[in-house]
Amino acid sequence: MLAKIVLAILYIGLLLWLGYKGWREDRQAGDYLLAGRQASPFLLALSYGASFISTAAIIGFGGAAGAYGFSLLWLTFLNVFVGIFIAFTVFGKRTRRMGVALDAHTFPELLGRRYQSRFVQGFAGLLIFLFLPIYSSAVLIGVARFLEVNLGLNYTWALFFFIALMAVYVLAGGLKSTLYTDAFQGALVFLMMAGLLIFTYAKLGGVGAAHQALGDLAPQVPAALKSQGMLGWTQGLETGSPLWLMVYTTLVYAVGIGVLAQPQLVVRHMSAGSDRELNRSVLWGGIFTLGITGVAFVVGALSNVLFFQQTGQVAYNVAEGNIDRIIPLFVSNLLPGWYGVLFLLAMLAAAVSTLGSHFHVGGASLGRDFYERGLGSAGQGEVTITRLGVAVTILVTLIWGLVLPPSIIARATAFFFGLCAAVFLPVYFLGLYWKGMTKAGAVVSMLGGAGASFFLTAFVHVKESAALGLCRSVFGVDSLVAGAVPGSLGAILQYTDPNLIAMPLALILALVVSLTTPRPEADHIELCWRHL
Amino acid sequence: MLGIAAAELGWAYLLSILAALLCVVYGLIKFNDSGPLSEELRDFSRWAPPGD
Repeated sequence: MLAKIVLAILYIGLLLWLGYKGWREDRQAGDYLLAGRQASPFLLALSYGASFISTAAIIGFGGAAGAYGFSLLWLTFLNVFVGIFIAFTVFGKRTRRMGVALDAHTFPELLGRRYQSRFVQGFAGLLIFLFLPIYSSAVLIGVARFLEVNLGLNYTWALFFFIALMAVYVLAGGLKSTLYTDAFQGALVFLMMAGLLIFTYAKLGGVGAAHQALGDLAPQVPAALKSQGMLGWTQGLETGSPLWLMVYTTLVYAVGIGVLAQPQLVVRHMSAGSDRELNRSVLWGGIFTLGITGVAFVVGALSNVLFFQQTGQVAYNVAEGNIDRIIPLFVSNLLPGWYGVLFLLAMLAAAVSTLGSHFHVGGASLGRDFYERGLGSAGQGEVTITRLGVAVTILVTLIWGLVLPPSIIARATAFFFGLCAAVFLPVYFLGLYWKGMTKAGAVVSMLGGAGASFFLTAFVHVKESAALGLCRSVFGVDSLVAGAVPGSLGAILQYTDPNLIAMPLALILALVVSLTTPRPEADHIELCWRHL
Repeated sequence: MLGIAAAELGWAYLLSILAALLCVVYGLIKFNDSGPLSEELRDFSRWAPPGD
């Protein structure tokens, strides 16, 4: 225990030093927001990976794999193919060039300048500021759960301790400091995950034998999961069942596709000094993402075999139904003690890198995008306002961390990713590729995507609508389609992620409105496209 | 496939690895393809603040 605490303190000291190094180099707003557009390829790739794949992926989604099995591997495929390959090759290069052409420093600013709309920038900034903390809290909960299980800390105190550390770290430096620490932390997390995979497969007699043993556990599927459509950890889920809809539409689709319109990741594209950084990021990012999510999901599922051998119970039951505790319990109870120490540092590392970029983006969204541009207010200076926004984002994240229920990490992450897909993805993609995309099309698409997403969340998707209580207070039922005949559209809708419907709707709105409204001025389009 | 009971999930396992390989191959092929530098592209003389 003492060794763990000493190592954690040393590690925190190193982070603060890196934050200070970044603070000294952030001389102006451009540095603070975009690291001066001079990030190195390796730094950029590790930073992108570390801020995309984090504690939420390892603890939250790894835990989900522990409960739902290898179905989560489809998310690994999308993480690598869409989150890295498509993100960098289809979106990244054009984003960098258009970002430079429009001198954009944030994702909402890129959209706002592309569409010559303060509303677009302000609305995007407000939405990110309001909802990014839900995702951030998922990361925070992940690391707090780990500290709770691994160090025996009280969960609430762990939340407070870690958020205080993050506040000092992020408020001290800008993106450059997070780029430095991300690279270091990304490398540490990657090595730990590689060790985890080797240990698990070796312990279970190799790849084929381990998978076979996991498949043989199918009769042990907990009744709570079986009744929702779970067949087995390598047998998959019953097509169309509530669990199948939740895993594939919420966890796999929302995160797998929503990654393309993540504001904290789009900023990474704009940080690149040339296409070379982006090309090399594809190389490093592909390996990194497979190494983190692939390993987390495979090991998360295989933890069932090791738990069963030791305790006679599968992971879901060992964690008492709180899937956020599966990976921390696995590391603490089934791995050597020294490995647990290193893994703890890796989880702190992953959480710091992701939360650092989140708070940075949240602050910029409130300060620069919503307050300065959206409201048209003259502030005290960009860096000051942005840092104020960072402080508010940190506070809101802590509040969410305190109020969200157990087993929430993966769902909270998926919520933000899905919302970004519904609201931003159509206008972002069309803005990069279609000169005919208009300001009116962008505004209607964003409002339509957000409106549909919120309506379906509050009144149809039963998991959230029941928790929010708005539908019950207005209509007296938990969902407008509650009680629908099994197999009917209504029954499917109540378990289908709202953003799977909202995103195509936003895309249609963008296309229809843009085709029926006057095209943007030729001069402006020429300006946007001048480097493409 | 690979000891995984459902073929669909075996494919997910394999495709994840293949997608990472695709990234590696692409990254190696384009390793030195830099395109114009952001610094060279910066020219704000024609930029005008967006309206509403």
